[in-house]
Amino acid sequence: MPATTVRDLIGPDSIVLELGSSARDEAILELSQCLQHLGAVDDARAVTDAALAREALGSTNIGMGVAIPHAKSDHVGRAALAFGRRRAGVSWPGEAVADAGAGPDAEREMHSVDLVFLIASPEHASDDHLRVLAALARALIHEDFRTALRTSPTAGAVLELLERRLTVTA
Amino acid sequence: MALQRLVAITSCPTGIAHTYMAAEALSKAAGEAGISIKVETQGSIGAENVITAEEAAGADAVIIAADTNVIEDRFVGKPIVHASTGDAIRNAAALIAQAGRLVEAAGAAPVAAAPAAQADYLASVAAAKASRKTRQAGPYKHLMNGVSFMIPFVVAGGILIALSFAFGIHAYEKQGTLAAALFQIGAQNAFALFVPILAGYIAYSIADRPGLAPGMIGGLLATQVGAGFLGGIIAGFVGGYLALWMVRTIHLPRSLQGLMPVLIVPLVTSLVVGLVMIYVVGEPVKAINTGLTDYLKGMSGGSAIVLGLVMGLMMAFDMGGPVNKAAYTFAVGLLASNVYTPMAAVMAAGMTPPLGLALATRLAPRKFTSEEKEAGETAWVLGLAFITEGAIPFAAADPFRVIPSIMTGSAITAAMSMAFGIQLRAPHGGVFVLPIPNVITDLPLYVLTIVVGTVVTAAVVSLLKRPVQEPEATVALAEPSAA
Repeated sequence: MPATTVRDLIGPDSIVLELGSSARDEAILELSQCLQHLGAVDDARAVTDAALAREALGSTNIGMGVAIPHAKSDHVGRAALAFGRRRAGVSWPGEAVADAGAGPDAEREMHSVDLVFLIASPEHASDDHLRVLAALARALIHEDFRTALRTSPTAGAVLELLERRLTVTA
Repeated sequence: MALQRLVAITSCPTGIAHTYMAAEALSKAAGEAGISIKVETQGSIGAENVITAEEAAGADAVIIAADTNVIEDRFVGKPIVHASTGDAIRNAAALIAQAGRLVEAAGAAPVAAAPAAQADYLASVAAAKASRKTRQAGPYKHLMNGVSFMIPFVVAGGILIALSFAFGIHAYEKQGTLAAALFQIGAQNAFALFVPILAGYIAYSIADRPGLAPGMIGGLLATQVGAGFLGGIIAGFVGGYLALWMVRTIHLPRSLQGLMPVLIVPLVTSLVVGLVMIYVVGEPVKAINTGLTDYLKGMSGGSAIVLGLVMGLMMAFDMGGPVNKAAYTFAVGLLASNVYTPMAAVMAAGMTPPLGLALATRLAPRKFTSEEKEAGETAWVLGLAFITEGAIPFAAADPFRVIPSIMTGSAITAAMSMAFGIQLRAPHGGVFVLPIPNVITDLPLYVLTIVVGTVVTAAVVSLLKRPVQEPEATVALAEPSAA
């Protein structure tokens, strides 16, 4: 009986098919503003700052063209997820090591990502949204999932993909 | 020997994403290489897909992909590859290849027997330990968990109190002095925490995180209602099993599910445990205390030796609980009436439990865990300072063998002290008060009674306790091919 479903965390309005910004900080702000429009967070700027503080501890650029910034803040009302893509990439300082795995991802520059998931959690969150995030983390390892994220034509298609792949069977 | 079976643990500090990505990457890479793998994730949800003792024993190699400290004692003797979660995410295949090389290297040198034999031996010891752990499952394991978290508090608090006595037994009563500060740290804080810690970590062992709050709150109540460490053990088990039961059986509608861990479980478990401690434990404890005090008063006209035996039994029974307090306050109360023999008996009887156990760890080291042996070293100091609590870690870990032993020693000591008519005019302090002129009437005889009680305690406890190490050795021999 999963407590939180994919749709509790993300909806079509928090999926941005083409981010406007090529810089990390602005990309995070853009996604935070989506969540603010939805009412999940009350101050996009504060949430962005929290995410950047987390980046300062260690980049969430996990390679493979994916970054998963996360913000834990009092300005987050309920746990929420936002997703953004940018075909030309968002510059995102990654970890120094880059002996990259196989596949087309290997060619991708280590300091640029094209898929961004922003995770916003309340300061005193219950744990039940974590299972969905764990499922997301697992799915991101698989190239076919990343390819599908890159090629989904609409926000609705992205949402369907997420629902299909992140259904928690715990 | 080729790599066939792998186990792995992944863990990262926030436990939100990297733990699971690393796990997935390892599973994927192992699948592609045709190697079976089980990955335990230690993330923010708690440990999932936990590797059992048999699986650990059956694995050819271990990969630890973690950015946090992971406890590896399940894998003693196995080839272990250490990496960060980032390494696993970026290049899981390389980690698996590295594990394969380690396994081949270990298998390729069977003639150079030493390392291989040692690995086998270590593995069988690990397997034996694991099987011993499974046998120790349930209440005993939970009790031990609580005790091992409690020991540092008893040691630190006890020694600080003893140090404050070194300034003179009334030195701590003077505000602003170092002695007062030491006493405040030791007696009012470290000792105030140890029963809650015991109870909290018993409950934590049973129910994981949801157990901690009811356990600690119940433990603190146990000290406040005067139920001592035995009350704390009750609080720990009640709180732990209640929390476990709630988490497992109560299923709320989805919309309310989020309230379970943050509101409902802590509130209900703490409330129930608290009420149990106050009404179910607290009331009888009060009755026991006053009943025993009256009983002792009634005995004071009769045989001094019988009174000594009874006070000794009481002092050692619960060390800080209602029975012990009844004897102690009875003796202290008599000081005001210029009756000094019970005080001497009570203090001697309160010194022999830690002293006797300290001696027992030396006489019969195989019957104590290494943790207990270390606690035994400080138990000397605590016993000499009349801090009976020094015996609690031993008593809490194995109550049915240790408590009767220390009661025997204390009863004999107290009876001897009464028989000799030894008088003591100080209510506490242990050896620190003995050199003070006129505090004790017959120092050599008094020391003798304490030595006798110490030796008796040590002898009985060594006799009753079962060896800790031997089952491990037997099992290791019985399962030579466990690895």
